[in-house]
Amino acid sequence: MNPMFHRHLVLAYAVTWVIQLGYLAYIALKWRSGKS
Amino acid sequence: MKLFRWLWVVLTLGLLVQGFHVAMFVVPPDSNQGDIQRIFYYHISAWCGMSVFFAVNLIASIAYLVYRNRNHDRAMKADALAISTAEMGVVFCTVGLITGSLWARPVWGIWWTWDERLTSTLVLYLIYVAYLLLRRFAAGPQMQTLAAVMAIFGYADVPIVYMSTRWWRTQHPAPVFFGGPNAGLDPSMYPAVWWNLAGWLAWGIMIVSFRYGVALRDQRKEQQEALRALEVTG
Repeated sequence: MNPMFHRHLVLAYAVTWVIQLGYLAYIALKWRSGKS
Repeated sequence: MKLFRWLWVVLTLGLLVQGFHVAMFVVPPDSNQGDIQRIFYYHISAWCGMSVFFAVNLIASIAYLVYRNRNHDRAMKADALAISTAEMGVVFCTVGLITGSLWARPVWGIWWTWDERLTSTLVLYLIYVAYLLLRRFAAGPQMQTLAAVMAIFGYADVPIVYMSTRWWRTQHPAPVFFGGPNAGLDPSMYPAVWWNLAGWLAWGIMIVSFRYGVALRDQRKEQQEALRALEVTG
């Protein structure tokens, strides 16, 4: 397997999780800021 | 209700873990592309998620326009659902565009091409980003009406994106579902598709339910502040 291909696969899965968890963190922050 | 929420969180995480395991370690690599094809399992889940949440956004926007002068409570709930699903749709669209680009570089040799599928998807993305910016920087009931109308017109691009690989000869691969005799996946790869689709849809529903709660609470707060301001001026 070409190592560059492998890098792209890991990057795609990592970026997906970073974006989704980032959005979840944004909602959590919004929730906390509205509570105070 | 709280127990149901926790059960949903556990179910979602279970589906996502299983989806990851099947996509990485169970299904075989593609005979032409090798392991890079495994990006597809997150890529198609993102597009399906986007389609579902933009469709719900359309329904919620229509519901808002129907109820805004008849039933204030229902209109507010529809509006909260509209903002929640639009954000979730944009998140999935971002994931779809980036994972597609990461797949295209080693397979096509380029990060991006202005073919019909990719261009119509980018236009769709920009429409919904504009929708969110409108909601962010404008205020009041007129903003909600404008946003609802914009969402209805914006959704017109969704069928164009879906049909683009059927109407035009694009660089993008043929559709996996309902794509004709030469389209589709090897049956051995379908488990990874189904597990990831289920996992990311469950994730999307979970996140939308959180965001919906925040949106409803913000609306009530704004209403209370408006009432207090009226009392002060009155």
